[in-house]
Amino acid sequence: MKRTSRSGYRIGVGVGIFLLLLIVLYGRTFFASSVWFVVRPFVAMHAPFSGVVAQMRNKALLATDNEWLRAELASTTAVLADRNVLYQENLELKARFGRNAAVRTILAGVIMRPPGSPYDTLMIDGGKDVGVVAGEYASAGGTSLIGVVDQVYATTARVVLFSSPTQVHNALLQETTTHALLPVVVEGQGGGSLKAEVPTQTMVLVGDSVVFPGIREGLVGIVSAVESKPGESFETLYLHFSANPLQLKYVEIWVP
Amino acid sequence: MGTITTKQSFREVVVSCLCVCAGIYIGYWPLLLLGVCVAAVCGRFVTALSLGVLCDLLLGQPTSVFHVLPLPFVCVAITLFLVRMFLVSRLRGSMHDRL
Repeated sequence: MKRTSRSGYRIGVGVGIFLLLLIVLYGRTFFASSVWFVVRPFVAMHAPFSGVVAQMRNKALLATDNEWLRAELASTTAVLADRNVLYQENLELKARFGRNAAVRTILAGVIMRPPGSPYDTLMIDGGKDVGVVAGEYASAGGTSLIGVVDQVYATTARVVLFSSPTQVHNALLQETTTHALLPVVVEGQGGGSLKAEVPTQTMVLVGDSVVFPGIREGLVGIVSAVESKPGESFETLYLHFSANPLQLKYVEIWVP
Repeated sequence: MGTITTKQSFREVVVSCLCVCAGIYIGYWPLLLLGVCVAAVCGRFVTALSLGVLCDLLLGQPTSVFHVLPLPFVCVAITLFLVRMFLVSRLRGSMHDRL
């Protein structure tokens, strides 16, 4: 009799848990929105120990870093100015042919990044409240795409990086030597790394870019290494993003 | 099943909750997993389940090969709790045989 009541209790608890999990799954977006509403201020106070670590670093080392960063900034500023002029020219040319290729974006701050979040995802501080829509591209700035918006909550959203495993996208490889466009399938490898395969003897160089097809042409990645094995008909391209997504403070979400 | 009765049980719950809070604050997801595992292994099923649900709501559905699991942290909590129950019953059985 006692055994029967105990097994009945266990079945009851099991059914209760199952129902609870069903409710959580069904109302996931609502519950996640509520949890993120509470947790967001704490998560936004990111890198609480970075100040301590910085204090411990050698001053001379910091001065060298500073000098190197200033030099890098000067050269990058010049390249960026050149890029902006070319981009504007590109947009005007497309406009003359009756196509508006300008991209409207929403700026969002990154509040959680790997290793804070698993699965190669970023949590951003903009959600339905600022008009973020699931399925839209996220860029590190301009047309340098890094991922796609996956889940949208009330005040936050999740961006899945293209480098996330199982992310597969069709793209175009722009060869700098022959100026040819070659269709490739880009696969995520995790940790901000991507790969693609092209037939051997394709004139691919390190630094060639891979873009999405379409009028807006988002830059997906840059070839960082080419691996070809003797006797194989394909060679593997390893790609990386133009900006390190794990160090980004802000991202831009493309608006349709 | 998960009732906090003793000081040790209370300590287990606090440790697992602290792990999860630290994981959220520092930004290191393995700490979240550790918190769930500690609660489940110590037999605090309700705590493990609650923390698992919280983690799954925070981090969303997996994107990689685990995308078939909608609530992976909850799955870890349930699996570890079942393993613990099985091991405890086996140990009790063997002790009973010896006596």
